[in-house]
Amino acid sequence: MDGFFVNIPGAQTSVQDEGRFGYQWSGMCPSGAMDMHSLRVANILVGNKMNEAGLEVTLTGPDMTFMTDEVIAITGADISPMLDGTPIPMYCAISVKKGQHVHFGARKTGCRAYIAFAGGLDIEPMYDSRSTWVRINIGPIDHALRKGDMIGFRAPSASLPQMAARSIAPETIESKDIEIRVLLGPQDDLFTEEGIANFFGKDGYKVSNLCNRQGYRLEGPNVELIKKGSIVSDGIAKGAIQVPPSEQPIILLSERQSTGGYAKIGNVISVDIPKVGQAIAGSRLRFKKVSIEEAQRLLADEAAYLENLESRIKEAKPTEYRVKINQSVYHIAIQEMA
Amino acid sequence: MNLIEERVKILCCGDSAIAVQFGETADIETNLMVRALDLALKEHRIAGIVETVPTYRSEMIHYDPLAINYQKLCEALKELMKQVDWSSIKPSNEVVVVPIYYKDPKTEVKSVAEYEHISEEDVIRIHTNRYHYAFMMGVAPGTVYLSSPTGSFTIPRKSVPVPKPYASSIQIWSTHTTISPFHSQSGWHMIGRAPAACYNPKRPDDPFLVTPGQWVKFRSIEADEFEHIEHEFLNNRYEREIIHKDLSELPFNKCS
Repeated sequence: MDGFFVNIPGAQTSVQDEGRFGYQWSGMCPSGAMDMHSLRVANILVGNKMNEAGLEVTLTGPDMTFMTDEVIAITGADISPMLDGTPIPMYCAISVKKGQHVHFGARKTGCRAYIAFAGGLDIEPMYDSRSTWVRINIGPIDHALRKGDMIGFRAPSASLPQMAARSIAPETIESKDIEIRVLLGPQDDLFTEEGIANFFGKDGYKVSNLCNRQGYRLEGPNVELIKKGSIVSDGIAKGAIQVPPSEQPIILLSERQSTGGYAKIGNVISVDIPKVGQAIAGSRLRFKKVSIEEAQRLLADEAAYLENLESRIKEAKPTEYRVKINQSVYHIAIQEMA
Repeated sequence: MNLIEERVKILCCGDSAIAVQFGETADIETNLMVRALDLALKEHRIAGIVETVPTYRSEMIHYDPLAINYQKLCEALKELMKQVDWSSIKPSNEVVVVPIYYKDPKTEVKSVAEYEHISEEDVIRIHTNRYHYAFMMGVAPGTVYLSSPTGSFTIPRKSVPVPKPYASSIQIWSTHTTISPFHSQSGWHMIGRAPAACYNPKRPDDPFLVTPGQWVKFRSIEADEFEHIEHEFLNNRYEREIIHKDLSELPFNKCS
């Protein structure tokens, strides 16, 4: 049997990729990774397509036994990843041998870590995606991982070319005080001036205990509605910030309902949605207004960053030497394999 | 400037979605415009659109801003909407007959009857003799939002959402009805059980009992028929009943 065996599942470990698109009209939520940036970086480091499915690990990590040699990379929240009891670096391709355990320790920063597996997981996509909709148990793996689960590898590798080049400086994952950029709309006209000023106030909002893949309920100054109540239900985009009559905002995320009937003051911009996904109960979010042009420019910058990283790693060359021994010239290339 | 351009609003919903809103109210005329735009977008694809979600009175368009930016998408949509023949939109004449077991002891038919000052039999009679229009789906796969254009009840939603005892339940408030395929928590009143769930993952090509634009007529069934249909559904043998009505028999021109 290829793949890994789950000894301890962790608080909530699930299979996630970019998500399931094209079915929201029927009420099917896209699901997908809460921090797509970190999942994409992990995939690039192990030579996968950026949106390949990996594991999303939440707050406490799983303990897994590998049944096959495989290369992995771990990114996102620092939950002290280890290989057979020895700490392993994050943002770095790691060779795991058959029989070894990957497990985690104390959480240091962030909320969600991502594990990418070279060649991907051996899971047949359901409605074009391998993501699990954890809240209502839909997906090719229809639950967050449980003790005893086994998941296969599609094309495992004991090692990859240029292992030494498959590493970047660990990215900073902020989970105490986070600036989140927001585009106003679609129903910002249903709020008072004071409500909008409160929303963008300097103290920001505390993430409440009610925060999960569906959404984050926030606590702070009231986002005052002109008229309390609901609107005629309409569509909900990822990162929508809805305000129920309690006037305390809720950010809707990967497992959001596709439609809803509360007024939405604004929407977190795409490049900042991963930052919300790394917030934990007690984190402070401060909102800043940006324009659509800026939001879309930042998203283009993010795409360019990931493409550059991908080509840098793909094109990394072995170290080459010209060696002269007894009048003969030799060309030697050395590359680290593990 | 035509009538459509006057009533349409394009709303920014973050950097990767917009909503084309045709009005402020949930009525069939507005919903038909949403459906017409949705159809037009399927026939004349605009590069960069990822998916569309038609709702009561607006069409949400999820797009990839790396393929088409906000300004260009708005322009392309305005251009497309000029081409749509809005006057030709007709509602569907398909009526899905949905069997419901109203007499389960855990339903809230009694409290609805008390609120409406009618008998429990009247609640069932009113609910089964109306045509309900399917405005949209949302929240969970197959969860369809229906409303009776000719009225039904006046009861408001509960102020606090409560968990429902069954996965496949039928819930109401005022003229609205929804069928939810999963265990849900809501402020709606649960008045019956649906033996055939509105989402059937065993039929990936045709998984939904009712789709938006169709009509629904409920049929009251007894416990033995409930068990029979549920058994058929679980064994993937249940075939839904669809009847075709003359449009003049359907209350689509009445305000909901």
